[in-house]
Amino acid sequence: MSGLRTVSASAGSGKSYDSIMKILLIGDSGVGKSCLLVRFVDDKFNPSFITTIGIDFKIKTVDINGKKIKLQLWDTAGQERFRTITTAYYRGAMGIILVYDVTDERTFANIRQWFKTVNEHANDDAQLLLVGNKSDMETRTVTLEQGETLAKELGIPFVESSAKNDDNVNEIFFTLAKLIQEKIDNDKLAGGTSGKDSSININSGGSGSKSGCC
Amino acid sequence: MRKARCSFEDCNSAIIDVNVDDVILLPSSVLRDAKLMQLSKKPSETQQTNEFLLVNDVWDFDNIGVSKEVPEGFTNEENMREVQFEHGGSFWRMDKCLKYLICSDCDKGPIGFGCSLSNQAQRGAQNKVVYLLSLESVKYV
Repeated sequence: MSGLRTVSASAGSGKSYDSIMKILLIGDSGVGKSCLLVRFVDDKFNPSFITTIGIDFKIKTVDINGKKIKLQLWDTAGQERFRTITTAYYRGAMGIILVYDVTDERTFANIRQWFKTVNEHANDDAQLLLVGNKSDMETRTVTLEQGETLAKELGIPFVESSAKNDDNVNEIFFTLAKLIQEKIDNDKLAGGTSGKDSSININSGGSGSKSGCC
Repeated sequence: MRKARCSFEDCNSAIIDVNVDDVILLPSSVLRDAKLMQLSKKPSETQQTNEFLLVNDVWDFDNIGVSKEVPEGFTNEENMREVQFEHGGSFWRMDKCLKYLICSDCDKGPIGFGCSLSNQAQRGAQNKVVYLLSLESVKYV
């Protein structure tokens, strides 16, 4: 499976993780994709030159059922304005987050186009997640129900988020990582490989640890 | 094993497990020349050297933000190129500061940088890219 390097932690390789997942943030510009990835609160410890240079990617580590999973998170960084996101960007992506702005119907309508583009370029087995961002705003024009309906139609899971709330943002990455891991585990079982992992219990209670706080 | 964490109490993000064998000492001028965040109140002049963790693989970090390319001439590269240090039995020189490191959770930094190194000991200059995390810019517990 491309995009995933599975390294056994007990193999003596010295690696500090069980697996790696490349995750992309996709959607119209202005929907707050960058805010899900980078916050840059105005502060003397956030010199403006870092904001100017911009962020390439972030690594966040999450614990899923005792497995240490490292997520590599990428933003399209403005390329979406020209719809020129290259195939290279999609290569190896295990998870793709489709983001729209709940205060902007146009960005919601464009999700269908993004969905099509993603299906053309991304791996068939990439896990998608629909995210309605800026849910804290009072100027909402896309309802929660509309988001749910679209997600159902596209056959992908859905959450709403507010980048103002860190826990919520980390929860999105955690949710997606958990879905990808479930998929990997299911594939393993379906493939008839060793049944030793079959006792993995996917806890849906949201009790997973947040990244960065372990 | 000791851990490097974000120095800000309300963040405290786990950055990486520190392997003491990979901790190197660099002249304190590097902090200034690379424009890294400094926490200590005392001016770095009073200290001659600062500790850095040399990380060969970016995946060794638990949580980290990596910037895009640092523009040419942004850091004091001329000074940084003067710096040599020993690691893994070879002497290395810093050639170019490539990318900045920031906290993955609160974005504070820069707390280190990615740079290209060349090996001075061997003919035909061996090159590699590593990440240098400034232990002066994080909480090292």
